[in-house]
Amino acid sequence: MWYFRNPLIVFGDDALEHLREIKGKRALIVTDAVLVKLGFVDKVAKELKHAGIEHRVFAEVEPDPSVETVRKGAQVALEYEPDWLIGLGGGSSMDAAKMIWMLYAQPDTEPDAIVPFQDYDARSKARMICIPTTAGTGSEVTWFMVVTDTVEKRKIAVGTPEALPDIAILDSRLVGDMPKGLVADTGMDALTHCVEGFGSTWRTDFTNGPALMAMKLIFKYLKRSYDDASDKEAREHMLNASALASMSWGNGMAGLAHNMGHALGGFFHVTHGKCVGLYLPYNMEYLAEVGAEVFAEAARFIGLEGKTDLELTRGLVRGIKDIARYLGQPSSVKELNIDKAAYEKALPEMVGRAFGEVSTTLVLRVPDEKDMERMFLYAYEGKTIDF
Amino acid sequence: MAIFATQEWLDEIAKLLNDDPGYAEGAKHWEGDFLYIIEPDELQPNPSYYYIDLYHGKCRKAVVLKDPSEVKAEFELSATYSTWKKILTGELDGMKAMMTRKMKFKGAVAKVMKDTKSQQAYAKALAPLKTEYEK
Repeated sequence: MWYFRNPLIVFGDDALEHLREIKGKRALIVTDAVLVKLGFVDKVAKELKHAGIEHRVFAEVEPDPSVETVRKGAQVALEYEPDWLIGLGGGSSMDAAKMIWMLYAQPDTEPDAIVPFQDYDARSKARMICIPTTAGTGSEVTWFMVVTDTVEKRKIAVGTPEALPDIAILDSRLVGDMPKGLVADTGMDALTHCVEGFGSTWRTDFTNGPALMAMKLIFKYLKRSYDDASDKEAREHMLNASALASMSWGNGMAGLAHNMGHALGGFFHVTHGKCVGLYLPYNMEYLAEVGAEVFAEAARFIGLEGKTDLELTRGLVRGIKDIARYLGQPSSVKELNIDKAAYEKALPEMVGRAFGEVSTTLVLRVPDEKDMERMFLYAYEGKTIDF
Repeated sequence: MAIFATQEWLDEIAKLLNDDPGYAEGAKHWEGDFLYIIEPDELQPNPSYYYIDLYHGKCRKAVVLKDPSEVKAEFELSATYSTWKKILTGELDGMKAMMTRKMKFKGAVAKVMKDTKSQQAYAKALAPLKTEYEK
């Protein structure tokens, strides 16, 4: 017995109008100050008004939201008592909204103690809607949340099935104005999600389908979305692809790129998409030792050619590197201008943190500490994995 | 080959852990003891219990219990005989067993989940363990 969990997904260029159909009294919109300024909150508020739902806005979410921020948001929720929480924005806002929801339902919970097999009774107080404005983390379809402990400089990546949003609204109008840098970073996050979801040892028929479709769409539309903000078709397909990608890993697991990426991001404040996209090819090279058959299947599906599984896997890795290069993404840690001595000094802790994430053991080839360390070092230099 | 959940089986577990330098290193920071409850099902009509105490890379104790009240463990894992057999033979992933409520876990599970290094060292040390199942 296993599960494939997803929210109701409402998609299209008028998807926000679904908010007119929801029933409730008060909604707390969790977002960031930029989206308020850009008028995104007003768009949501307009639809809530149609539904007769009052709202309040908590717009203090920062990139890589901190534990302090989510505790503050939870306090606002406890005072306002919404029956809907709406996470509006990128992964930071949506993850913050989900964490605020958990703390609103169970105020005594410690964020890093949230686990998938305890009851939080989240829906006793409110239900959750997530509305992404990037393409994207796909947080709108998963039950995972990442917040940052700013004191220990570490990411807290936790999840519980109760944190799965009730509704995900994918309105393609909201991603139309994304600047190139954001398209690149969030697009690489989506690509990493579908590859890691497909390569997870928890993969199933249900997770494989969305992963493959997401990969196909990303390979076709990410560069187009990056090149031309007015390419509505590309922007819409990328938004859908990022949700599909997260339907996959969200029901399977992420993998080494995410665990290593969280460690790098926690220490050196590099954006999430850059971190995970950077490590992905190295991880695939490492996993290919035993997992080439799996990656080859994906390579064939997206139309790559090759005579052997290894050849197809290498083709897929080349394709991913090509996309990353096109988007101006770093292919090695040193390209991020991170000092080598500082990186090496942080290495033992980064390895420890990567091992602290459960999904490190749910990959096709589980590294030991030595291999993990070597992967971090090879990725610094930009060296192909040969072990 | 020792039979599952017998004292001979637990003695084998303790020996494998205590003889393994990889476990000593990998679990050197771990402190925590476990009460295992084998709930009755069609394969085993009566409950049974065993206890394993792990501390700083060593197994301090691994014993069959007549009654769970003999110990006050930090962690308690409970599942039917059939489920334990599936988990230990690799047919069922332990975390999935918890998420589908086939295995119940009491205690600060986040502590266990965060210490992947100890878990990996434990699994690696016990890889040579051969278990016979009477049922």
